[in-house]
Amino acid sequence: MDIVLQFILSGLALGAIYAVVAQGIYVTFAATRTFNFAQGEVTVIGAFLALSTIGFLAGPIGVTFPLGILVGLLGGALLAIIIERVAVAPVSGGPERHEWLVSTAGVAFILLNAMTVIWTRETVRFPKPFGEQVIQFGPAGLLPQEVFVIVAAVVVVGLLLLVLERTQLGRAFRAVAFNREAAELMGIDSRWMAVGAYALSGALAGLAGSLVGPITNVNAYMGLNLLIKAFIAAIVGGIGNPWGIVVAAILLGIAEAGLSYAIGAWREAALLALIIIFLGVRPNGLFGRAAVEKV
Amino acid sequence: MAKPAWSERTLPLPIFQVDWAALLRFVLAAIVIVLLPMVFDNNYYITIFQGIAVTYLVVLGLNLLMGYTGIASFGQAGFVAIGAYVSVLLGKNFGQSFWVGLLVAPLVAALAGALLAIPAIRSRGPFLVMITTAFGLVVWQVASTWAPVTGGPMGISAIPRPTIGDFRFDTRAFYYLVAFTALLAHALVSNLIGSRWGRTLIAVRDAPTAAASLGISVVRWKVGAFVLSAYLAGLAGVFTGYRNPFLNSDSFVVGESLNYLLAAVLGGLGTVYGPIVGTIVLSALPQVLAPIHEYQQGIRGVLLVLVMLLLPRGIAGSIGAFRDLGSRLAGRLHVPRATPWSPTRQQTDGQAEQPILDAQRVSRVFGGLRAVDEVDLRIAPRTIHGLIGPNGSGKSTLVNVVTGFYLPSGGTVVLLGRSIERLPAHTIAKLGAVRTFQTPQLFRDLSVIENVMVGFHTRLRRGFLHHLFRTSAAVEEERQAAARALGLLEYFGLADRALAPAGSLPYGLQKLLEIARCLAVGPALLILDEPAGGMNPGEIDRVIDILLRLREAGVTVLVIEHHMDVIESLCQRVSVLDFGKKIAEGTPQEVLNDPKVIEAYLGAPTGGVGEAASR
Repeated sequence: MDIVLQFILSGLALGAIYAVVAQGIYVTFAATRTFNFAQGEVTVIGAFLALSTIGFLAGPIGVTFPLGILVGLLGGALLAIIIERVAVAPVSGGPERHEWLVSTAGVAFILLNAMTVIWTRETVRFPKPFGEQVIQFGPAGLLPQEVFVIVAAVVVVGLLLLVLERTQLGRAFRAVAFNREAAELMGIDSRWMAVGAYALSGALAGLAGSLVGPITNVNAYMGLNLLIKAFIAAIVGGIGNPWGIVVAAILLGIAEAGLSYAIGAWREAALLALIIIFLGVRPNGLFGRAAVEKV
Repeated sequence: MAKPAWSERTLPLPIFQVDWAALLRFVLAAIVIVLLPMVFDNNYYITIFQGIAVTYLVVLGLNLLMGYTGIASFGQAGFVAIGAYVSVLLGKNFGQSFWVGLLVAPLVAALAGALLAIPAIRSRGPFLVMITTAFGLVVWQVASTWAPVTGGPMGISAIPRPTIGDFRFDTRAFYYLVAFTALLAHALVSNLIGSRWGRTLIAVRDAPTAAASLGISVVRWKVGAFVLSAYLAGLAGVFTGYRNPFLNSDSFVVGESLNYLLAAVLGGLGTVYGPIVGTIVLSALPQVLAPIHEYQQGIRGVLLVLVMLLLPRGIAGSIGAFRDLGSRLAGRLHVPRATPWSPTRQQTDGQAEQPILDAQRVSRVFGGLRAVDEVDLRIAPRTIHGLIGPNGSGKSTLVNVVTGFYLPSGGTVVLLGRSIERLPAHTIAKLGAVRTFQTPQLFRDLSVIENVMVGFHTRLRRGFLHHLFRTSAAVEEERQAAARALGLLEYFGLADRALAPAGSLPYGLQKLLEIARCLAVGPALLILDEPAGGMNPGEIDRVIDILLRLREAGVTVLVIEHHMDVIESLCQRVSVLDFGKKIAEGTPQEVLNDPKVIEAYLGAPTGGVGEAASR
């Protein structure tokens, strides 16, 4: 049982990261019916930006780490705004088609290349701001950074959902998500909503990157994996359901930690294969209902 | 009706007879393939040419999938990997020759394609793309993790060259093998695209709902396209596996899938020559960019973005000459004369009293709304039956239930004595209930005549292999289908537009074409959802005229309409819905004078003018 508790805890930390990135996918999908295929790369750039900030300031880690997070977050937001303006909004074909996916996949190539040129192809060690002294929870333990990630994710996702559900801005956002044309007729500028949603998703990604950095260290090529995991959380949770996404992200993290214990290196392949099968059975996710297509 | 003079002339349609121009292009390509290594007599170049041919096989399949079927895949490298590992491991671990691998491995990839297609096409648009991405990632991860078998990143080495007897395929011979395989694949895929196969795929892409309403199993055709593209990628995989003495998992990263994608979109999706143009450009990139190779990936990314922004139809799709060369409507071969068409009388023998359609207590609930509430509907053979009611009264919902687009929440539907309420739309269409849509759903990128030919889908017998090899039987069947389609278009007065893209027709003619397309199915029951909606008075007269002729010929029709003059001049019987319930039924005169019907349309008689107007 101890080991089960251990991978539930480890899974929570992993799931927390996926949840933050997945919320980014949710907000852009809700506002524009598109998302950023380069979201994973934006996440990794967030981590690199945080790392460079910490390195550049060369101060005590207690000061530089929060600044690093801030830079990662802002950098992610800025990048995502550029992506929306250049590679999503102007492409033809509309959200049901694949053009925006192809162009943002192109952006993923560009960002990946940029990372290997600006930083490196190698894995870079990220400083551990809270040390490496394991915190015990009964028989199981977590690294302090993992605890921090869980707490930060709860705060961020909580704030996001609060804003979406309780504020005028959130109402406008949900109106656009529900029916863009009707929302436009009510005076909501859906273009600004799209830019805002991408900025938010980029900020979430950049934040997630700077949070995950101290746990996994940073490698330019880890973006695709993050994107796929976050995306899986988003569709398994039901892409219009932010709470469902949080649940799915945590389940995914726990499943990954469990599989990692059970079958080691095979976990990635097994997890993805399971998800593909799952989506064959429930294409609308855990909580989703089949939409009736209007004929 | 006088036949238009032009139908006596020959019409340009590419699909029939030996296409001499295509044959000439084929021979020219073969000559180029033979000469290339003689002109560039250097293993470095020959290896590049090998790479072009291998990549082409993948891009060809991807174009079939993305361009013609409208399904994007970011996971083709997964199928290539399956082809490569299965064939190489058959050789290494089971002592089989290259040739056994060439036969078996693409089939394994195709099977994987079928398995992946099931979850993939149940998801829509972007989700499907992500599932294919995940698939590519799974295969790559298995390849790099399963080191005892695949060698993982360390790879498998000392892969022998293929041999026949004592002949060993060196770099140049291997090039010839790949290149001619690619040329053959190109020719066969072109055959398919030019046939009923390509037509059906485009139909499924342009208007899946309409395709289902004509008896096409959309799922089956999408799976078919998936399987075919996976087969071609698997075939490329076999050559990838045996090209070099060394094979490792790095060749199958997701970035490779995106390279195939780049070639396909750069060349031009849905064009015959796009894949070759795109493949050549993609393969030339590493040579051109050699001095700045650390920026290669980024430059590919820039290209992907730029193509989507500036050239969404790709190079071949944007240059007229290429487009016409590959267009399904190009060519100069002739369509036979129109086979005159006339409606067939349905169910005349012995069953005269049996209704064609018998729906009892049919309901359909959306959330708390009873859109259709226990409605009975019987349609007698050889009648035109009207279905009227105010907006939102449940007419279209009832039709959607009857034709299988919605499952009923309750009740039974019997068509020609068969229970159909649980059957999918395409099966119901095959059984004889065929419908039009409120807004016409044409296959926009197909010509007018091809739209009608899609309507013949359920009656065409020649299958995949016939069309793949363009057998004379398949060509003859297509010729007859075209002749009959032309006859049907003459009946509708649309023959002079036969070769125009359907999307270019004015609205009224689009609605007429949709009716013609339904009649091609040979329906026992023709269901028309507002055939006169949005038409001008002249067009309405044309619709009435055609429907009267159909009525005289004994075709059974269910028609939803708001124009009461249309209902009065056509229908023997009319049913009236209001708030999901049937409130009246009878002859047009009876129904239109029924106080309940007047109230439904105009409000309660006591309500006065003001309330009636606000209704």
